[in-house]
Amino acid sequence: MKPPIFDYVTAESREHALAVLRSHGDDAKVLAGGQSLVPLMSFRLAKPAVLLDINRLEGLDSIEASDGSMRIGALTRQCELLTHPLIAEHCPLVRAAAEFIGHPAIRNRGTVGGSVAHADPAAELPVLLQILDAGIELCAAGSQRTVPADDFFMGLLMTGMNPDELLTGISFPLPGKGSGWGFHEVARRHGDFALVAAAALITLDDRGAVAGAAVALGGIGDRPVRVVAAEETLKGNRPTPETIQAASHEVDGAVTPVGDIHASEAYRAHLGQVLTKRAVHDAVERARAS
Amino acid sequence: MSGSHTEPMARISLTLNGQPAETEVPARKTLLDTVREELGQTGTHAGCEHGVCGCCNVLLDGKVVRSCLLLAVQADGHDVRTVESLGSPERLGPLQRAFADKHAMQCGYCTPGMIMAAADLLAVNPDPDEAEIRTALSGNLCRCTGYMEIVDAVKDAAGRIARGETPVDEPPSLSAGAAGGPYIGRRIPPVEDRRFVAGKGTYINDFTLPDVLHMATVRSPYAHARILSIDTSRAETHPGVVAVILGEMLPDVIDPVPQNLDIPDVVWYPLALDKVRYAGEWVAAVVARDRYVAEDAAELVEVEYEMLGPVVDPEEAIRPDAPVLHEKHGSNIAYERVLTYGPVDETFDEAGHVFEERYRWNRHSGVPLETFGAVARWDAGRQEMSLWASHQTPNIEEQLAKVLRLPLNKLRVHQHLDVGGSHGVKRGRKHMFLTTAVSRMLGRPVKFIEDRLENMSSGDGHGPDRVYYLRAACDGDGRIQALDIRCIDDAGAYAGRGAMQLIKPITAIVGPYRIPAVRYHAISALTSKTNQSPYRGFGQAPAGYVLERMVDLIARELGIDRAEIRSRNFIQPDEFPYTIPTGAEYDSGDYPICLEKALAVSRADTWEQQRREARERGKWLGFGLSTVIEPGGGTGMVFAVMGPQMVNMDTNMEGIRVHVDVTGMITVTIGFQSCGQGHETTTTQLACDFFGVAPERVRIARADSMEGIVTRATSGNRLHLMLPLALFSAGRKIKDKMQAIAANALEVPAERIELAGGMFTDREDPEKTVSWDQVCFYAYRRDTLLSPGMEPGLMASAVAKHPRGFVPPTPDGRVAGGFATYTFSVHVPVVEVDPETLEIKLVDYYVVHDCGKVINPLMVESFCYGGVNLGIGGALYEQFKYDEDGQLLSQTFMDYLLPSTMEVPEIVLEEHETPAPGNPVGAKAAGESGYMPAPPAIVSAVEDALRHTNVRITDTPVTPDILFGLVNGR
Ligand SMILES: Cc1cc2nc3c(=O)[nH]c(=O)nc-3n(C[C@H](O)[C@H](O)[C@H](O)COP(=O)(O)OP(=O)(O)OC[C@H]3O[C@@H](n4cnc5c(N)ncnc54)[C@H](O)[C@@H]3O)c2cc1C
Ligand code: FES
Ligand code: FES
Repeated sequence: MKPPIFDYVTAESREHALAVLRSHGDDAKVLAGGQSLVPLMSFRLAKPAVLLDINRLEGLDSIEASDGSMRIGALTRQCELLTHPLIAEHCPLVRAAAEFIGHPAIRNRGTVGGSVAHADPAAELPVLLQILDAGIELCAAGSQRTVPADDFFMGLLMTGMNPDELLTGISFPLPGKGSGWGFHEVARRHGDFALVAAAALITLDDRGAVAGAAVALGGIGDRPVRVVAAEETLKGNRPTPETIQAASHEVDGAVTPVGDIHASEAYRAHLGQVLTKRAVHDAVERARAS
Repeated sequence: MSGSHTEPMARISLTLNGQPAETEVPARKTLLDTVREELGQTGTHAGCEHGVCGCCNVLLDGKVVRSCLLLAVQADGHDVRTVESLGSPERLGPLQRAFADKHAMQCGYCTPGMIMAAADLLAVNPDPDEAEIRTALSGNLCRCTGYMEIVDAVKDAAGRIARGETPVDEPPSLSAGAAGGPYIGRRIPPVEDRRFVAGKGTYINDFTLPDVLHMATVRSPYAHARILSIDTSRAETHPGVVAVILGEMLPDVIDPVPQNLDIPDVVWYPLALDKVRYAGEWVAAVVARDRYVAEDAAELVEVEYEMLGPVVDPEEAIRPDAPVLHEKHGSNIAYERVLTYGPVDETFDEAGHVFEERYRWNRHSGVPLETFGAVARWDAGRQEMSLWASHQTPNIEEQLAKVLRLPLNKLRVHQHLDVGGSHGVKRGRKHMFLTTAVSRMLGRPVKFIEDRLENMSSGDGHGPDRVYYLRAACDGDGRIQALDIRCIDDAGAYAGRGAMQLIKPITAIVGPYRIPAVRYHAISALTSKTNQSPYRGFGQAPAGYVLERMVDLIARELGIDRAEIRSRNFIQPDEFPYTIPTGAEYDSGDYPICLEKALAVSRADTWEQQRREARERGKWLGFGLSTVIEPGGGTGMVFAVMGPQMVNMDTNMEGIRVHVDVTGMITVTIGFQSCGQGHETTTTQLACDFFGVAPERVRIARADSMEGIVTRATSGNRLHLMLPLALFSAGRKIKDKMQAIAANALEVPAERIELAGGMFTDREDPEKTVSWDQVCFYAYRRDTLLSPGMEPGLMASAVAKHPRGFVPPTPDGRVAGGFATYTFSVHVPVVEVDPETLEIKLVDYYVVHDCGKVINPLMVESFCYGGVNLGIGGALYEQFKYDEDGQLLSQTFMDYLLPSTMEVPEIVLEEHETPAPGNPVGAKAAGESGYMPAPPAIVSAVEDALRHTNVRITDTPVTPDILFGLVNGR
């Protein structure tokens, strides 16, 4: 299991990287943490003619919080999400979810941008981006755009990114006061990709009713999905156990579960409901405590 | 596309282990391969090459990363540290020392990666608690230990570092861990560990020869197909390729792989000839200047296939209308026999109760972290074949001689490698035949290291795969009177070792129970899968599983407690030696007391209360129980039940050579290599006690196959028995001679001489003494002190005869004696099931284990913990799962799930010693009893947790998904 031959190019600057991507298009692949791409190459499932290593690019690995929003650079290593003070302070949800990503050695190398660009439906970060209403920053030579998470994830390892684009970062509005989060996941073993992961962000109004709700699931289908029907069930209502239960039942119509050797469709559908309930429950509890 | 242009190279310079290092490497070369092959640091190992196992962990700028997922060019200008940076065998660093002292390993293959993960943890968290350690190491797999020893070692290392311990000079020797004798029975840290922790083990992949070529295979994408044509032209002209070998070239140069069954029309060559019979079967082998190029060219071999119907399910395979894999053989049945012992039908006719169930034991296996590897060199000048391989294959040289059509004395199979785990499966016969054959064909040394895909899909390394139909007759008290067992074993595409594993269970078919009548209908089915290798227990584990499950079923149906029903059926301590209906004789044991201990240590009186408390927490708690026999000390005679062709199975003897040299040092030569069992240590312990010398004096050497040490390799779980027998017998000859020489020197009769504390002394006049060293000197240099007719020198060898010898079975299949020893264990796992998600978590684990006298408790405990680790895998996680087209769905470590620190709980082990009669130290086999009882016990625990649902679990592995189906009646 050895990677096939490729031309190795170290990106010297963002402009250089974008120029390489423009001239090679589909034949080039960006190498970030390599924790997904290198195994694929070693299995010879990916055979890029040109490998563009962006690890030496400067300024792509910052975490910033300002004006009620947060921006995480694409080259930020996943391990940073566990220890960075800004994340602990402003968005502990990210930390909680990132703990589920693989193992220390994986997170030390794997990047935020890589996880998003790779778009594994069972990955944790894409689920978060869904409930955070995150924007994904894409850069091409001479152009730049930000794509909402919901439009970005298009299917199994498929995104709305063009071959000549570089993912430079993600940004999202920070959950405001009165909000709480929940994240639950079931995996076969510790550190495995999720069979199903559920994330919820709930804002309560002064009367304790749900003012805002975001619920998303990963692992269950071919991409991370928002469960809008569950959100609608919650909005405007007091989050009683019954309402939460009712909201979790909405998972059924909202997603098409997939089956594989680790979990059947039926079990995934079931987990979708259970974990939605748990995530919303935790989010409500945290919102109440905030 | 790949390989169509030349290899882009890169010059890199980095800091490796504190030293500047520079080299030029292909841009695609991983850091792992680069540190190993270009920079000479082979402590970092490849286990999966896709990021899951952690064997390849190194520190990059101080942080632990996978070196298999990093290109060497990416490390240009960075700081890289491998395990070698922490210390050397003579000067271990605190982390290494802690791992060695706690015996936090067996084979040592995972150890360097594990240590680097721990180094990363301790750098940021100098005082981690148990949970933090387990989390930090969760990405490092180990197949040998139960992780507890590793967690312990990390805690210990934290203490050492906190105390400011620095590396200390200390040669790697057993005496480092042990003061004075006696040594047998002591917890002595194995001497092997000291090289493993320093990254100085020598595994097959660390071994190379000048001018060596590398091989990779082309594998069939289809489960069953005819090969219409193979076009090798593109591959052959690919730069760096030396040859492409096809199956059709082999019959001219080698014989087929020996099958052990009388099935001449099931013809098996390492490469497929005209047909492929499973997805992954090797169709061609590409030999090239390195493995990267070999893999490039393997993709260029074009094979045209005509699809045939796959044969996936073993029960369907044996139906008359199934597609036949080997047309000339005529059916997919490799072996079938009905063995009836005692009045089975009569008992069933008259029984008060008859219970029956179907069980499915799905394919899983040892999956050692080191894959199989071989290096072969044909020396045309001497007409001699040399082979180095990571194997534990008995009689491999004899098989090689036959297959290569070479006289046995032109074959040299080396036996000095460290093998990175085996658990029975490192047989690689086809690999060794192919590698040696190709070396001879090309006249060049050839290296073949399976990659993880070759290993999983086509390495012949899978374990038993069985469907059981079990009926039990019993009375109203749950006393079992007869068993009727029908077993269909899915052997894979060629017979391999499947059928033999199907037969071993007759040596313990009634488990620890007094069951007077048994029928065993055994069928070995050929299917579109890779072959079986022996796996821990050699086919006994599934047999124990179904029996234990049936006992649970009877208990449940008759409303009898699971412990009580076992007590009622146990063979009692005063009944040994006890002959079971198949003729096998159990040597000794005390089953009731072990069960009692297990119930006490697991606090059985609190189970009900614990269940209630768990319910209040919203969890279902379940307690499991299994009481399982481990036949140990294999002997070939059992397999003669399979037919006359098996009568040449030998009696599993074992040889040894002891050399006491002119300077008084002792070299004990054994003829096999170890896969983590620590034989250098146990053999040293035995020699030290036998001769009354300190460990510094003893060294264990390993002879190659031309040196005439008779061996059966580490098979049949018998070396704990055979090594003492052999060593004491050879040692006796030397001791007698030394006594005679001492007597001559002291001019007293030899009978009066006593050896103690390194001195030969006249018992009647203690003033008269001569030292060990002096006697050694005399033996070589003072002819005058030798008795008449005595040869100079102190060298003796011995071949220990298996205690049970070889007595052929009777025509109706009764074996005379069976295995040599019968080990017993009780397992009590405790599981917690989440009522909603049905996740299964092992929270506690208790074991009581009786393996007779223990030579080194540290090692035996580790065998047990590690066995439980494998058993947890088989019960809950691991399966080689095929789809209906015969595609293997779990070929990678992302899909074949090995338990980690987070899935294996802390294990509480109590030993009970019933000394085994018939061997000088009273030892029994100890290698399998951690593994075998675990699956039935764990499944029993899960069923217990779900007792209110009436769910019955029959199949392994049991996963949350399967549980979900069962609970919902799907
Ligand atoms: C054993 C193991 C366990 C794992 N467990 C988990 C888990 O539980 N959860 C989880 O989420 N992940 C898991 N991962 C995957 C890990 O998180 C990867 O790091 C991640 O999927 C990819 O990030 P990367 O930086 O390594 O990207 P790479 O592997 O370098 O690249 C992945 C893909 O993204 C593209 N890409 C990367 N960066 C950019 C960019 N900036 N712009 C454009 N394209 C880009 C690449 O071209 C490639 O196609 C695991 C990996 C391993 C090996
Ligand atoms: S070899 Fe790198 S993780 Fe297994
Ligand atoms: S010691 Fe861990 S795999 Fe052998």
